[in-house]
Amino acid sequence: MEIRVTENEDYITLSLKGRLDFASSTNLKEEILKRVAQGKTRIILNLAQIDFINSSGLGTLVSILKEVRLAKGRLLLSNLASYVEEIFEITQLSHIFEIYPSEAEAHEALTASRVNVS
Amino acid sequence: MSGQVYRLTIYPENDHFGRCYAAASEVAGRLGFDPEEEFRFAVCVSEAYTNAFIHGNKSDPSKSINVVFAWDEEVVRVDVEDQGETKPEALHLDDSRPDIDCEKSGGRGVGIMRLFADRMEVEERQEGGLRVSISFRLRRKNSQVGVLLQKSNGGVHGNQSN
Repeated sequence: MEIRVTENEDYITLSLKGRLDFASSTNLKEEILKRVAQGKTRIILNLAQIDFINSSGLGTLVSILKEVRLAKGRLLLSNLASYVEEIFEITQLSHIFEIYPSEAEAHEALTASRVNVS
Repeated sequence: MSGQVYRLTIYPENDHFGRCYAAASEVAGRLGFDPEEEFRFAVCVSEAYTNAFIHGNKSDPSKSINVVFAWDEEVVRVDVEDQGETKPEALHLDDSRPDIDCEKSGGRGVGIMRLFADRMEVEERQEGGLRVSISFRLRRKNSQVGVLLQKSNGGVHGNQSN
């Protein structure tokens, strides 16, 4: 799986490409937790180019979500293909993840929350 | 089952998860699955393979996993066989739902297979290890798959037989 990181002023975007499974999960988790440790806790995961995810990948995302929450950050998902979104729904994970149709809408949600807080 | 059979034995080296995924995708392509059907099929094969590697073979690099695809005009069945000592009860087949405790990091694989596949069975192999079998009914539009298969000679590399 390829991971492309874009660092913005107050959030980061990770664009993932390929398969998110048992083999690629560790790398993704390390990549994100490294940045969380640096204080970058507002994260958008763009899954537009993820063409495969299984329970190992889902479990890793749950694990990352917990770590981000512990750091009082936010993890947002965007651009899920319909069949990827389906697996979030049947596992009920769509209830615990913030999922947006586009990266722009995910960014808007991050921005709105910041305005609300201040 | 009379029809096509494709067997492969995968050792846990290099991109072995990718090899399993590629085989599932190739078979799905041959069966004329649309992208959603292919995704569900590949997910189920991947779940069975991952379980066989982690829970069955305990990630032992010396143990291989057999993946057998068999299909006719009505159904495609995939058998995934490990060489471990895990008992079927360890898979918690009766209470496996993919949505149990959203906050858990694991335990969704069997539930996903049961939802996506039309049938799932687990049995102990005489030679040791478990065999997980998942079956998918082929939709009517795929009834011409036999014709397509006769025309197809390459692509999937493994042992094929009729």
